[in-house]
Parts: sequence; C-alpha cells; structure tokens
Amino acid sequence: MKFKNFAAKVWQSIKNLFKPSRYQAAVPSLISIGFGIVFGILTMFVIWLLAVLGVFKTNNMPEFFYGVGVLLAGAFNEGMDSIADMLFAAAPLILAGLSVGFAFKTGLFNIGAPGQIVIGGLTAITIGLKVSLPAPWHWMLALLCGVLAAGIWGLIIGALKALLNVHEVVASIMMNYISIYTAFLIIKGNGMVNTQTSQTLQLPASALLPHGEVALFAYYDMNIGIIIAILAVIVMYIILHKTTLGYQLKAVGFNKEASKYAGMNTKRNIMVSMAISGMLAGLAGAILIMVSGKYFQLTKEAMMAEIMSVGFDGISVALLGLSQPIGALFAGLFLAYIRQGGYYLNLANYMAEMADVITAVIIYFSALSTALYAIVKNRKIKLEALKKLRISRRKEKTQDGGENV
Amino acid sequence: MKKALLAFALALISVFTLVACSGGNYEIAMITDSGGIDDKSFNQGTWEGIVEYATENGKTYKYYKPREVSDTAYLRAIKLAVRGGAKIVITPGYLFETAIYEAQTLYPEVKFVLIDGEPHTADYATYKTEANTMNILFDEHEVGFYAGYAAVYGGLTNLGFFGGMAVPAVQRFGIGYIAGAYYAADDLGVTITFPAEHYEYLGSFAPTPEAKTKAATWYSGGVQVIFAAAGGAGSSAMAAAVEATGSKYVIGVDKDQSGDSTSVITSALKGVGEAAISALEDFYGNTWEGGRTISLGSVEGGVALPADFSRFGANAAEVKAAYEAIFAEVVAGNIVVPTNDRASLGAFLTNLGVSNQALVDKAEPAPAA
Amino acid sequence: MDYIIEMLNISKIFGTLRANDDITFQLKKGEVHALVGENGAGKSTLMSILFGLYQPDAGEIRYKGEVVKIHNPNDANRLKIGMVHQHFKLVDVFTVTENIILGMEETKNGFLTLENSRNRILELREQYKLFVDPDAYIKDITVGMQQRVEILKMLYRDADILIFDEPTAVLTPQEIDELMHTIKNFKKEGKSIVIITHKLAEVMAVADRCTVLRKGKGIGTVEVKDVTVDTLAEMMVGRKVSFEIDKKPANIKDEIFRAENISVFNNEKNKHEVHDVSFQVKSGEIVGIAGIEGNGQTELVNVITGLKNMTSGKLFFHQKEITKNSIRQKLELGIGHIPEDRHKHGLVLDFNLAENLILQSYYLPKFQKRGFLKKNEIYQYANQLISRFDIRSGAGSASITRSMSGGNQQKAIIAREISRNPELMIAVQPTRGLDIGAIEYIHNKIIEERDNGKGVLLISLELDEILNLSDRILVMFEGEIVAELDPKKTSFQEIGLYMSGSKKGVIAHEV
Ligand SMILES: Nc1ncnc2c1ncn2[C@@H]1O[C@H](COP(=O)(O)OP(=O)(O)OP(=O)(O)O)[C@@H](O)[C@H]1O
Ligand SMILES: [Mg+2]
Repeated sequence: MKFKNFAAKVWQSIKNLFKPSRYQAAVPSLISIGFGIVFGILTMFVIWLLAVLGVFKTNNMPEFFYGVGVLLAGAFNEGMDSIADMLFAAAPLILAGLSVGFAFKTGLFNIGAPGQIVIGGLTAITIGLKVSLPAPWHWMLALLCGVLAAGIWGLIIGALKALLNVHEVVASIMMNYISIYTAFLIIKGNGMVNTQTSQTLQLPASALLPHGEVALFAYYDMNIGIIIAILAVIVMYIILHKTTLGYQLKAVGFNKEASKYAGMNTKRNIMVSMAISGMLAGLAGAILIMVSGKYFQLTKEAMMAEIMSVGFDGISVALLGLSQPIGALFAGLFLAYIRQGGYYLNLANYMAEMADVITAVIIYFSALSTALYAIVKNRKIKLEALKKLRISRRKEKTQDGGENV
Repeated sequence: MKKALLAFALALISVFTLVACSGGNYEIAMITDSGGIDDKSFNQGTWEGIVEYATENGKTYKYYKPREVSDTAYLRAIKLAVRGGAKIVITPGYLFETAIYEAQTLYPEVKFVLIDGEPHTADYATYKTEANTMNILFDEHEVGFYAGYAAVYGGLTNLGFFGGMAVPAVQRFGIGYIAGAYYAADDLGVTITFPAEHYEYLGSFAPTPEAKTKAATWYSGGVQVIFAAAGGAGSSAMAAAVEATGSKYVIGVDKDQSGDSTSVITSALKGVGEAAISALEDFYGNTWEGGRTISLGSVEGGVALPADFSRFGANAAEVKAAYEAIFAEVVAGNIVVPTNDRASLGAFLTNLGVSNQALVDKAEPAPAA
Repeated sequence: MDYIIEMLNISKIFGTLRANDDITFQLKKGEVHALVGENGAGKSTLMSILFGLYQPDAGEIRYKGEVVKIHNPNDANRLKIGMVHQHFKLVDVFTVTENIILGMEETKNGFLTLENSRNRILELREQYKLFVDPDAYIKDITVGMQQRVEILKMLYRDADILIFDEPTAVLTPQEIDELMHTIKNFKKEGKSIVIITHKLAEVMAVADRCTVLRKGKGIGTVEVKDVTVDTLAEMMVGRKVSFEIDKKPANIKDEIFRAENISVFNNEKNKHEVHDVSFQVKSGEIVGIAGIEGNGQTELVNVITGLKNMTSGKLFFHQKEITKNSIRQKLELGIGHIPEDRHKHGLVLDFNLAENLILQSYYLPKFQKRGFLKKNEIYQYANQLISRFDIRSGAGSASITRSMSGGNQQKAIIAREISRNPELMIAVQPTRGLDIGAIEYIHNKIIEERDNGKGVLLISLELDEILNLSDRILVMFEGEIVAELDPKKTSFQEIGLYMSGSKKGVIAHEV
C-alpha cells in the first residue's frame, strides 16, 4: 500500500515534469536562442557574400554551408572528444550562472561574480601550491577554501550594502578590481610565478580535479567539474524551493518591505545571499583553475579575458536561464555548445567569435523578452523613465488589472 | 505541426552533414596565442612570413585560434589544425612549449616549428625535442644592444625601458639595451642617464592609459627615448612621445614599427617572419632537420636594426656607420653581449667602469623566495 | 435602443476559473452605470475586457450597435473609452503633464513640445474643476490628486465612455464628495460612465442604473431609483446583509499596550510627523484613530510595529518595555498588523497564496523541520484559512497572489493576521476594497477579537467604520492626538471639526 502511494507520487511528479505549463517560462529564452542563431547565420552569409564579391579581402575563402554545419553541430563535431570539451567548458559557466541567478532571485545583482571567481581560483592555487597533502584531500581542501574565500568576498559586498547602504553594483565593480590586484600581490609575493612565462606555476597533480578513466571522463581536460556543477544545481534548487532559507531570501528579493514587515532580517538575508552567491562563483573559479595546463596570467587583460569573463558570462547564463538553477544548467550547456560550434568555425575560415555574436544577440533578445514576458505576466516593470515614454503604449496594456486594490 | 518541425530539423541535419564533408586542406598552419594575427608584433610577424612564403610558392595556409589560453586548449587547436590538413604547424611563443611537447609525439607525421621556446613538460622536469620539431630562439640581447648603442650614438643620453613582462626574451632585450647604451657612452666618452626607476616591466603587453601616463611622466622628467619591448603597450609610449614637448622617441620592437608612429626612431627587429620562412623552406625543400633548437642571432641574420636611419636626422649617416661597425664586431665575436642574467650584465658594466647596480637588479629581478 | 456599449454574453476563463460567465452588460449613452458585486465577482475582469486588456473567450462587444473587436487599450482609446484603474498607472518621476500626455506626445523636430499639451491640460482642469499642478511630480502629490491626474488623462484623450474601477476606496470622505460631483458633471456633458464600487451609498448617490455580478455571473440590471440599498445588497451576496453592527458592551480589563510620548521628526521636511503621542489599548477594547490622511497615522503605526524608527518615546506591551524590540520579537509577543498598503507591506505578490499565509510564521516548527519547509502542512493550513475566510481565487492555495482580485488579497492578509491570534491587533483600513459581505464578516471578526479579551487599534479614514466599531476614539491632527472621544456621545460633525484642526488643542476627556 505504501509502495503504491509512493509509486503514484513518483508517477505524478514525472507527469508534472512533462506538463507544458512548466516550460512556458522557457519559451522566451528559446525564442531568443532561435533569433540569435538565425542572426548569426545571416551574418555569416553576409560575410561570405562580401568575400565572394571581393569586398573583403581574405586569405582563405569562408565556406558558408560548411560553417553553418559545424556551428550548429556544436559539441557533436568530433564525437566524444567535443562532447567532453563542451561539458568541461560548461561546468564553470553553469556555476557562474547559478551564482548570478541566485542573487537575482533574491533581488541582488551580483556583478561581482568575476572577482569572486578570481578569488576562488586564487585560493585554490595558493592551497594547491603551498600546502602538500595526498590526492583526494588536497584538491578537496583547495576547492573548499576557494569556495569559502569567495564566499567571504561576496559577503563583503553584501555587508557593504546591508550595513552601509552601498549599492551592490558599485561595490561589486570595485571588488572586481581589488580581486585582480590582490591576486597579483599574493601570487607574486609568495613565489607562485613561473618566471619563464609570467603565469602561475603548475599545480601538483594532487591538487587537480580528478579525471576518472571511464566514459566521457577519459577525454582530454574532462574532469568531475560538470558533476560538481550539477550537484550545485540540485542543491541550489532545493535551497530555493524547499527550505526556509530560500523562502526568506526569495521573499526579500521579491518584496523587501513586506519581508521587513513580516519580521525577517533583511540585512542578514542580503549578506547571506551575497555570501552564497560568492561561494558559487568561487566554486566556478576553483574548478576553472584546478586543471592541468590552466594558469592565471599575470596581466590585467589576460585575467579579464580568461578568468573574469566567465563571471560576466554568468550574467548571460542567468538571464537566459531565467535565474532558475535548472535554467542555469541548460543555459550553461547551451553556451558551451554554441561556443564549441564557434570554435570549429576555425575550420570553415570564419572567426570563432561568431559564437560570441550569436550569444550577444541571444542575450539582447532574452533581456528584451524577459521584459516582454514580465509584461505578459503583469509584472511591475522597472524600466527607466525614458524607456517608458517610448513604449508607453505597450505599457498601458501591460500593467493591467488583476491587481486592483 | 510537431511532426513537420521534426521533419524539417531532420532535413536540415542531413543537409549539413552532407555539406559538412568540406573543411579544406591547409598544409601550413599557425596557431595564434592570445594576441591574434593582428597584434602588431609577434603573431603578426610570424603570420606575415607564412603568408609571404605560401603565396610565393602556392601553398595552402591557415591560422587557428584556440578556445582559451591553456595548455590543453593549445593542444586541441593543434589537433584541429591537423584535422584541417596541416603538415607543418608553426606556433609563436613560449606559451606553446607544453602543448608542443605532447603534440610532437601525438602527431609524428606532422612537423612543428616552435618560435621562442623549447618543448617541455608542464613542471619543466623533462625537455624533449623530437625529430619532427624545430625550436627557434632569438638573440634578443644582441639587437637590444644595437638599439641602446644607436640611441646613445645618435645623441639620446637620457634613456628608459618598457618591458611587457619579466620573461626571459624580454629581459634579454632590456639587458642588451643597457649594455649597448653604456658601451656607446664609453665609446663616445659621454655620460648617460639611465636610473633604475626608468626601467620597468609593465606586467602587460596591452596598451593601457597607465602605461601612457608613465611614459609621459618619464618624458617630461627628461627621458629622451624609451625602448618599448612590450608588444601593443609600445603604442602607449608612442602616443605619449608624440604628445610630449620636445623631440621624444620610442624604439620599436619585433618588427619595423616606424610606420606606427613618427616617434619611432628605430626598431629592434626580430626576424620571426624570416624564421618561419626559413623553416618552411627547409620543410618543402626536403632539408628539414628537426630535433634541435636553433638560435638566430646577428650572425644568422635573425636580429638587426632596420636599414633606414633617417629619423636620426643630421646624425643619420654617422649612426648608421657606427651601427654597422658594432654589428660586425658582434658577428666577429669581439663583443660578447650579456644575455638575460644579472651576473653577466654586471660584469659587462664593471668592465666599462660603470656601476649602476640598481638598474642591473631591476633588469633581472631576483626570484622571490 | 441608444446603447453606446453592449457587452453580450461575455465569458472569460482563467485556468479553471470562470471569472466572467456569460455576462451581458449594456451601457446607455449619458448614463452613470454602477457595477457591483462581491470580491472576485469579475467586475475588474469585465471592464478590463472592455478596455482591451483581456480578450473574451466568448461573447461580443458592440459599439453603437456595431460589433467591434478591442484588441488593446489603443483600440479602446479610438472608441473613446477611458479607464481609471484602481491601482494608478502613473510614472513617479514624471510630472503631471508628462504623465498625461504619455503615449501621445507632440514633438517638433524630434523634441518634445509640452507647451500645447500643458495649455490643453489647464483648460481641462478649469472646465472640470480638477485641480492639480501640471508641473508637480507624481511622487510629490497625494493619492487623491493622482486620481485626478488619471481622470485628466482620460479626458485628454477625449474619452466619452469613462470607466472607474473602485475609485473611492483610496479617497478621503471629502475627496469622495468631490469625485461624485465631478462624475455628475461628466454626465451633464453627455459622457457615459461606469463606476465599480463596493459602497452602495455611492451607487444610490450617483448611478442611474446598476448591474450586479455574483461569482462571475450577471444577476441583473436594475434602475437605481426602483431599489434600496438592502435589495442591492441581497442581490450581490445572495442573502440578507445587516448593516447594523451588534456589539455587546465592552468588557475592558488590563492594559495590553501603551505608547508614551512618541515623536517622529522628519529631517527632510523639518517637522514632526508624530508629536508627543501617548495612549493605551486595554484588553477587550477597540481604540479607533480617526484623522484625515497624512496626519501622522501611518507613521505612528509604523513606529509601533517597528517599520520605522522613532525620534523619542517608549512602547510597553503588558507593562514590559518593547521600544527596542525587533519586528520579529514584537510579532512573537503577539502584535498583529493589517497594513495600510497591501501591496507594499502586506503581500509578496509573486508568492502564491499559501506562501503568503505563512509570511511571519514560516520558521515555526509547525511549518518547518530542520530548515526544510513542510509543504503538506503549509498547504493544509492555507486551505483551512481559505475556507474559513472565504478567500476566492483561480487556483486555490497555489494562486499567485498578484492574479487575485483586490478584495481577496485583503481577505488573505486579514485571515493571516487574525489566525495568528495576536493580543494586540493593529488594523489599518482593514476593509479597504472589500465587498459588503466581507466587511460584515471582518467587522464581526474584529469585535470577536475584542470580546475574546484582545486589544484592537483601528486606524481608518472612514468615520462610519470608526464610529461603529470603536469603544474609544482618538483624533489625530498634524501628528498630535487632539481629542479623545466616546463614540456614543460624539457625532460625525464633532469628529470632523477635530480632524480638520478647527477644534485643536482641546482634549475632551469624555470617556
Ligand atoms: N490574470 C489573472 N489570472 C488568473 N486569475 C485571475 C486573473 N485576473 C483575475 N483573476 C481571477 O478572476 C476572478 C475575478 O477577478 P476580478 O479582479 O475581476 O474581481 P473583482 O470583481 O474585481 O473583485 P474585487 O472587488 O475584489 O476587486 C478572481 O477570482 C481572480 O482571482
Ligand atoms: Mg476588482
């Protein structure tokens, strides 16, 4: 009898999973993805046309059809190899998206994720190089410390906001710069630089994320990063939807005044939220760097391009994933997929940056469509005044009934 | 509706898999490092050499951009190049050392040319250069020496130096420059000003406002010429030189940068393009001789100053003659330019009766404990 | 027939809920037509359909006898239909003029030219005696003025058919009088007007005809002159409603709460919002605070509940000082608060109903175990409250509160606060936007609390409510308590004098 109940429950939740309404929220994201890809392909076509007409001078002629093929084939271009590559690249993206998305959900814009990633990576490197421990303990400790340090980094931003009323975006941007130079200071000051290359030293094998020898995990860089990311997604899902902590954080995010009225400690919640967000970003940073052959390059530009960019990508991932943990998972995978396709564009004589064009368009559209979506859902839109002026007609339609006092 | 979509998707996929059999066949491949082929410096020089050789000889060629900066990403880019039909892969820069170490055994039928580095494991424990790999290093200290010598000989006695990062190749430029400047001062019997605070590793190869401000401050403090061995950051120094009052100069690096700014008085040429060409000539002329490291210095024609000295103004002919003379001396082995260690620079200066220990220390900082 | 608008057999379904079920609504040219019905009956939905915000699932709309489709508010504007929403749709940081012309700006060479528009607004203002400063910012003007801006906005668009959705719920009695006057003016001009309201007195005062909805269905349309308030009420609720509140004599015991010398100084405005206010609430009594909006009532309540800091003063609860207690501590001690602004404080609109019903108690063992929410208990609890307080919504406890009708949102808050069983209930405008049935129910609940030995602090702008419920009345004027009155011995007029400051400074200890 008990089993029967249980089975029925499981069946129900499986059925729920396939209810179309559950995915309605994803529709705008999917539409934007469609737009982005179409736009990317059009751009490729125009480039091809201009090259054929001789307007562009190129060393090698772009191959349009082949290009579109490899772009869309994404992570399936080289079988398991490229699938493994995609999963590998997706892990930090998912975590960064989770970090930003979680903060979004609780009403905060954690643009400080890039800095927290640097701090997470920096701490992992420091533990990796300065502590010697046998294998599982070493990387676990490095990972853990990375997470904690970045959590504190996030907490600082939260505390500045909660206690001193410094807007988190301002604090975040400052902390991002501070993080780079802190990293340089600590790395240079503690002899962790490879003077031959001006990068950080190679981490010992014990401090690298384990590979595994089975299936996908035997390929190239592939490591347990993606598993950690998926676990983090599950944990965040549970926190947000099943716990009192998530309940409070969401309440503060949705309506700070009402949460205050209900006796919640909004200040503490802001700090907790930023700390958790920082921890997720730190996890992304540690996972990013605890890989053989991956280093911090000691220039600001390289840090921005190679490490912090993951944090900025996190904003895109969160946006595309509608700030939901599950959304971040799919959006992160998607971003890695399309980047992978972009990488193979090398073969078709297109620039790999084509993938970035596509993602940029997707982000624009999804930013727009979340706004549109919000409108449909009778959400209060906080567009700035000028925008309101322009879309006033649409606005009138949007802020409609259902919420009359 | 759903079925129609599915059918459409399937049709698309099949079309793409059909056309996807293309992909070309490019024999000569270059992997760019983070800079890209238009970095006005290292990547660009190499690429121009490749283009020149390939168009003259009707070879197919192509460059590949790695996914990110990491050993594995470089290795994967090499794999992609091989998939694109590469028979010879040219990689500019020491960042490729670890990737080439692995690639040379992974793809024994492909030839590798590693410029500015030697293959080794990530922990530097094992160095190995297989028969299909050739490493090309340059004697940057020699051309740095010429640059310093020419500058002082041309009457510029207050000097400064911008290095991108304190990596060996850049240090060699700087140390040679110091040596050359003091050597010329000794020759001419003049005193030069080159304090340690006017010798700087910027920590970046990218043009930044900070670098420009620094250059501007130096110039207004009396510095007449800055040797900018700093890739793109050189353009910051050039901008500052143009804006500064009085005649202020920059010495370019890697390729002839006189076209980039009127302030570029001369450039410390590093024949990366020529090196690429000669490697390609070996390969296609069946005279490939791998498994070794060649060092291109003055003798081999790997480093030099450009032939045009007109920016030295009235002194042009004089400076040119002096440069040619000193070049011959170095080729003949009469002058041994110190390389990238402080000991040899220190000894060199002591020989000239100069003591500027602070500058020597700055040029090759002692490794942190 | 001279119907200007006919909505025939309109149905609108949200999920499984029939918000409008085969409703026919006809508006004559030049009439004032009241639309009444219980909370959630579908009034707002019906009018939103007419204004093009929703599309009907069945039925048709005719304009002067011709079938029309109204896809969006622009179509409605074209048919000269205008609507004042209950919740105003104004941009805070814009001026009155900018708000009014929003969407139909005049430009010259790509630049906004406000001059003509501003003159037009000034004309309209004179014509209809709707006084607002065209250059004031919305954030700086009172709710009543904001409503005038909304009305001007309709007039600016030349609307002939004017829809008012519960316009009087947020107005002070004076403002209500003015509005009624304006509506009569409109009628004189030949405009056709629909007014949604819960106050039947208003129906009797201005309306020619009245349509009654109940649970999504049209019950009927009547000529107002043929009916009485009681018949209307019966049509709405489906049973007799008593307007008399039968109240047992108060059984007042010990003091529950005491405020001593509360002051709140506003540095920006450089004046006291609350000045030296002291009073007490005893077990078994309802203390009513009367006053014109903006005389410090809001600030006083926020100080007591902890939402705002006071400049000086002390609070006592059962003789223990609670001045420095946190909001949660006060809640736990047993202070309940029905807030003035249900959207700002009362609800997390993006949470569902069940989640909103545990807003202050989610962390109690009843709803939580080791940090995990007990979903089953939470939904069970919600369902209990829903049936006890008759909260109606589309999807029951899982309804997103934002989609609930205004009255039902209010009921949810009251349900939550009453069921927390507080010692002291601070009720601010507790029946704002509720239908007569619900008001009756809530009033009875409040009296029940009192009879159970609880203390109630009632703040209301409606004198009726204050007079009917209170055992003691305090009048606030300019942040001070200017009178303490016995409801049995005072009158509308007397309270009015105190409220307007005419009888300031005389504290009549008549209790
Ligand atoms: N957008 C929506 N989605 C789902 N349900 C809705 C929506 N809008 C309204 N409803 C439901 O339709 C019903 C009718 O709502 P409506 O707002 O028309 O009521 P009302 O008569 O205006 O009530 P009140 O007097 O409380 O304002 C309510 O039960 C409400 O929950
Ligand atoms: Mg309504």
